[in-house]
Amino acid sequence: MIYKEMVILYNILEVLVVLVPVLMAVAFVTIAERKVMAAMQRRCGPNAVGVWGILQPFADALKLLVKEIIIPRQSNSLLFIIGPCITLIFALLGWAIIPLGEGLTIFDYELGVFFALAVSSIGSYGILISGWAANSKYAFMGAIRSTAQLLSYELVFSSIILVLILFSGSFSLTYIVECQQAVWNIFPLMPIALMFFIAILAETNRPPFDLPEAESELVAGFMTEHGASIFVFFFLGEYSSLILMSSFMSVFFLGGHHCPDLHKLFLDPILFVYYYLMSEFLSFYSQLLDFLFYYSSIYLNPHVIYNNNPENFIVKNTEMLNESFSSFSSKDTVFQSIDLLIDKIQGSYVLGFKIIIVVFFYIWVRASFPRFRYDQLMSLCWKELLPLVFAYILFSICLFYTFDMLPFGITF
Amino acid sequence: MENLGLDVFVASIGLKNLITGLAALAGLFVITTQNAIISVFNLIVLYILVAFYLIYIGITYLGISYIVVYIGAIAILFLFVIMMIDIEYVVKRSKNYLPLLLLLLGGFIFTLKSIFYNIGILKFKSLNFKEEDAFLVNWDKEILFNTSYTQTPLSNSLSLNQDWNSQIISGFNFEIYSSLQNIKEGKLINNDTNLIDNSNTLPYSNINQNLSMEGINPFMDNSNYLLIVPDWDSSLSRITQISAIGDVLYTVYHSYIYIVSVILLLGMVGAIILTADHHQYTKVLNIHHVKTSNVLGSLFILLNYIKTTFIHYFTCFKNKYYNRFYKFQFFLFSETSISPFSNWFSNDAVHSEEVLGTLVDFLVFDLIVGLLLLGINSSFSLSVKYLEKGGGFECGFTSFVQTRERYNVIFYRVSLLFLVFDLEIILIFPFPALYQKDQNNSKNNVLAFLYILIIGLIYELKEGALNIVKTAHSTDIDVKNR
Repeated sequence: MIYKEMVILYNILEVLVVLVPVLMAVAFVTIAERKVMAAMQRRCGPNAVGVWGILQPFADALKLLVKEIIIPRQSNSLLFIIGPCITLIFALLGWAIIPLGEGLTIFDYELGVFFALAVSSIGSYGILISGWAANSKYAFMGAIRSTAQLLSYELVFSSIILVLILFSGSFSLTYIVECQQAVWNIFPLMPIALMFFIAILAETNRPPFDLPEAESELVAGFMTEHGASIFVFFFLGEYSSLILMSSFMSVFFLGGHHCPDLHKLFLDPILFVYYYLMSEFLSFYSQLLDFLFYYSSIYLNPHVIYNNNPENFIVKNTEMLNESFSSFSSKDTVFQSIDLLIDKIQGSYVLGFKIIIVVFFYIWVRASFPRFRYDQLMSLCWKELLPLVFAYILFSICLFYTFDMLPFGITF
Repeated sequence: MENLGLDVFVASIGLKNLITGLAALAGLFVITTQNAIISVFNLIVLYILVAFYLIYIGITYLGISYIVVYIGAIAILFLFVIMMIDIEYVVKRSKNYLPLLLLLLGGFIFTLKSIFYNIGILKFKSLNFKEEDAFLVNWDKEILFNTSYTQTPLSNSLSLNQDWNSQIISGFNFEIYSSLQNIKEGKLINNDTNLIDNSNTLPYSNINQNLSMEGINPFMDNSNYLLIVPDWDSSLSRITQISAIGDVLYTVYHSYIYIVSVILLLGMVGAIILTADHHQYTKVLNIHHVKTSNVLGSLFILLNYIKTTFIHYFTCFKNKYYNRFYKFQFFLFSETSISPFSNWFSNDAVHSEEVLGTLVDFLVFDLIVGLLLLGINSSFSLSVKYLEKGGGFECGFTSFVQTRERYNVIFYRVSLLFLVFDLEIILIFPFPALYQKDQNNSKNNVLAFLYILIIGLIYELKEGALNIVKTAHSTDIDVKNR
């Protein structure tokens, strides 16, 4: 019984260990966004709260948490609160399947891709429900627009995932990451990766596709009526889905936690010097030992010597010694053990670094592109991206068949 | 009498029965609630529960695709339709729908019977299996579990009296798997002398002998004995449901995928035509007035031709192999372990528990976070209420008109087309998971499936179905008619 409870506690702790940093990261992504936007627009940005304004998001959150909860009279009050909660829940649920490092996943699911699709398809309900429940014109229009947009771009999202699965032959994210050890998917699938980036921009309602939140047309879109902590749910949900989508990007296309040859570029020189000194020392030591053995053996039982030439004996003996030392002194094993250690440590950091880069791209796009019109948005999805992705699916099936590369028989 | 907590309650009822009971309740609410939107939300809850049920009994792939299709596409379409209804007006006029409910229950009495059978309330008499039936069950098992059916399964390559095990064992993968089954059960495998008795029909020892003859130890190096950890290497030859379904769908039942593609194409075309402006398409819809030069009309005639031929084919197929198909379905969805190979789905079952477990963990965390935020907010915030504060965000006035108005038809069209494409992608997903060697055939099938749907995509692009026109917001129906 105690064991059972311990298991439950452990599971919840596991979830906490992943999700609390995610919610903290939301705060830092907002301050990073404001700072980067400010730098791109030649202004200061927030700099009053904390050092360089780094505590600004916490002050904002505190402000939101002290505000009054206003539920409009005409709204459906239960659904008004449930909608943002659904957004938050299904934005956080996707973190279960992300491989955060080598062997670091909460839920290493073999149909992980399907899990992601299901989660993202339910996630759009949050916006629809809250927009409808508010019973305001702006919120309603924003919700309808946003849902249609999410549907359309989810199609692009899932068909791009289909291409990826054809490429790697598995549905689990761990396997997809492991497929990218040699080369990241962004190099062979460059156009697909670009389309994926556009799709995730639209999936998270970010500029230049932030039509549902277009201030000039609809005041704040589906969240017009929401304030205080209910708005915080939206806020956390949106930004955590931003980080989630950028982690999907880095898992699918940027190699996940793999970092090819970083240690060989920077750490190999150091390791080489270390190994060189070590081997010099070892060879000197072994030669010393050889002489000792030789003379001692002559002294003890001279008839055993099978070769009169002492150099031969020394050569043989050094080989033997090297073999005996090889468990900790051979070049390969030293390198392998240190590599493994570095891989274990660096995996998560590498993934985090990639996620940060993708998030920076998000902010960069926001700072540099004007907003799309709604018909432009829909025509971009249905007339340009979708036919291209379908063409790519056909092309990849035919290509893989001709080169006998179809991932048949791969179990996951 | 120590524990009377929720878990004991759940254990006494059984989680499966709890899910089914909740699903039945949600179904009741769908019919009896007066607010249409709330009833659709009940429907969504019903879908979620059904998906949970499927996941719980180990059919994880179908459960998750159920979520993707039904909740992600179909329910959103329902919501799009219902959201523009003036709800207060409808609620005033609505009646009690209990008689309708009873009528529906009467209509579905046969399905109810099967549900009760599943729960265990009713216990059927032993089904009198004929010889033919036994053969059919074997055949379906073979489709699901073995890879050796690729030699013309319809042409009766199997004989009736043949042993079920001896048929299956011909596949290589099964040998690996059977040895792995022993590993799972915790038996010791000796490389030198087979400790496991040979009385069992399964030749699990053969693989060890063969591999050791080649000098390969499949399990571990430099060890005579293997102490077995369950599930340590089951990924060697695990056929999951997705690959089993893909195997069936893209080889044996490829006719079904053609039928599905044609149906989806018709759905796409129909969605575009139904939601289009009437004066533009009325001529086209009347099949007698179609000119030969009209692309759409010729497409229609072609589709009708294809449809009739397929329906003919399908009816023939159905008459001939109805029992087979039925049995196949029965086996796919039955939870009782008929076969000695029920452990084939054991991995999926493990994952199903894991799916539900992670869902529960995340929900608990989100609940804690949400309650924390709401609690802090409600305890630390002032609340001064007056009339204007409760009003919606308008331009200084309280709103005169209902907000839930009719909106542009493009949104319905988007959701309809999304449904079609989503189904298509879900159907292509099993293709990369195929576990068989007949690449050419399955590749051709999937390409044909894709080509037929790309015709629909081209048609949609040519018609400009998703062009957003300003005047498309129709005002011809009078608002007073509501």
